[in-house]
Amino acid sequence: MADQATFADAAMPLMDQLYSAAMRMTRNSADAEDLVQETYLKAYRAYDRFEEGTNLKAWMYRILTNSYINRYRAKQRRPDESDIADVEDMYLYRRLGGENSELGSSAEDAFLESVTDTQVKAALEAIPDNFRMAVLLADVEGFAYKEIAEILDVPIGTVMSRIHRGRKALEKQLHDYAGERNLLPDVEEPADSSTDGEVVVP
Amino acid sequence: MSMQNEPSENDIFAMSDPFSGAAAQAFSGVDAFSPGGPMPVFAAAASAPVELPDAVHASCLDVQNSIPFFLDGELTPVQQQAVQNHVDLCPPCQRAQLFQSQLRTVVAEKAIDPMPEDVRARITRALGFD
Repeated sequence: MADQATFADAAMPLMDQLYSAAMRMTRNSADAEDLVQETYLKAYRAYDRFEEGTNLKAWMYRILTNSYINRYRAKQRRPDESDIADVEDMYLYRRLGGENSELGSSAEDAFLESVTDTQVKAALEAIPDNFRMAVLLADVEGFAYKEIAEILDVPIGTVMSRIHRGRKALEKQLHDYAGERNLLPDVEEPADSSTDGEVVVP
Repeated sequence: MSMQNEPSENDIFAMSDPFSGAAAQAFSGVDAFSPGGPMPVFAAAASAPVELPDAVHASCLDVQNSIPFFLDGELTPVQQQAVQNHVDLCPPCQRAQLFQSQLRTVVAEKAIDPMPEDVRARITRALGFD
């Protein structure tokens, strides 16, 4: 049982991380600020039920995630899986040239050096809701699958599936940005290029 | 690149029951991967195997498709080691791994929004910590 007096020292340093996650979830600062505040108030009230020595960061993320789902579930779109169904593994790498390129890793390096904060954030925010949470928790927050399963309260297989699909959506979005910057080799233009350059409204 | 359902017999990634940890549970999960489809990580096994001195029994396609899970550290220890061994000896797979690893870092580093100080102060006050 944790003492509420220790909550400030333990939980306040997590605020920037929680706020970043809240920004990706809600996609706007006003909702993100409210969500983080709600998370901290709930966590503080429930802190005597937090088992000391267990993972406080995961516990806080679970409260954040549940608060988000409760507050915004009505607004959530259903995940559009058809967007992701035809995206293969290593989507971005293979379209940047990947193993077929004889000229060194210039396209990959150029992409990694030129991609902006705004693009990364927009690409994360474009991932369908359920998948987005899993990708954020894995790739941005660095949680293990088991921790993500506990945070989202779903089986670990579901976590793995959502991360896998969410990363494909992320890579597809980043690929579109690479296309806008003419970083894609001409020969690697995919067959379904009709969607390239299309403005994706999250 | 099409996925194959038929794993090669000597493929470490396609053995009937190679999983003991997270991956095993993952593959029996209700919505694990595409409905009715092959497992994306380990099922694409029938492509040409690499010829390596120590005969790592995994194709480059297998290895590359498993790189995200390898980077997550969520393969079994045997699989983690098999991917590492392959990558150490196979420049194309090493390059694929490096890109995925760097992409992961770039995404994590660029997805940060510092909490506005006035909001931090507001929450601190609401909690009675000021």
